[in-house]
Amino acid sequence: VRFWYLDTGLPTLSERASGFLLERLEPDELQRRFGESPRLFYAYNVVVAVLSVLFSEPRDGLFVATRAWTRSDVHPHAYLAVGSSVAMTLLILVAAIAMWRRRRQLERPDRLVGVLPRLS
Amino acid sequence: MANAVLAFSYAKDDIVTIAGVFYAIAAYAAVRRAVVYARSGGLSGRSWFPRRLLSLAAAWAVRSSGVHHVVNEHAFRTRNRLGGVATRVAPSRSMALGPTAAASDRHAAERRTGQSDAEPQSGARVEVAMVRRLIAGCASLAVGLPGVVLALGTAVMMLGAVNDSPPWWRVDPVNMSEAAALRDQATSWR
Repeated sequence: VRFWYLDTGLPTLSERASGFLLERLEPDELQRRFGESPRLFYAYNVVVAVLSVLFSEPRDGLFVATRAWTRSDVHPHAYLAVGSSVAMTLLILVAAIAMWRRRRQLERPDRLVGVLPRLS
Repeated sequence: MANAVLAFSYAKDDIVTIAGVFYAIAAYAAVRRAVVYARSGGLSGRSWFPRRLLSLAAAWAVRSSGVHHVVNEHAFRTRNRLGGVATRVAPSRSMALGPTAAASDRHAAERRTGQSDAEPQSGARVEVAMVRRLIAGCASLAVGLPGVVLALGTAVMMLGAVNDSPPWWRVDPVNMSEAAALRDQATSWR
């Protein structure tokens, strides 16, 4: 819908601010850093989008909890979010590995685990 | 993954929200498998397992509760954005905004600048079977209890909302100055 029907496309580097590692960059700064070769920035955005689902970090491209940790100002909710996400992702990973090792007839929940990487 | 690639030019959590649904499905499958494994005796003697599950389930329950806070925050922002849209659509104080809004329009515009099955055992193995059953039962309880508590709490609070005392969406009465100071543009418009 966005690309064909509305034909709005994606915003360029000069249209909006974005998080990058530990800082938030305004359009001018994004242009200055990645204007010449934006592929690194684009790759970063794709990777952080996946990481945000698996580990709750970063948020909007910004490693909020890490930045807070470097400033010794980590909110308890950050520990909760990152800790619970890391633990659950590890559990999913262990379950997926166990499923793969046994190679037995897959049950419905096992098939659902297999669906995750394809659809998320 | 597809959403992440399609939105390669900027990072925004909302874009991969749909992936959260599949993450939840995978989490359900993984936890179910862990509980089934525990019931089959795979974790016999490991009493830490139910405790870990309880901790994990409790953490996610608390996070789920936090979702309400986020929803509340988004509702606040959306209200204000809609207020701004109304301004642009009907800048000349149309009747759609009502006479009260029309009267306060000029001032608002100025402010806008801102899871037990039994396992047959006998003799000396009965105790082992009991331990397994206990761990399995605890595991199921650990997984389900926090969510049940959260659901019950939410239900009670929603009933409170029916009686005009919603805990998360409560809108305290404010005057125009307070609304302006809180950047509550929607209240200002009303």
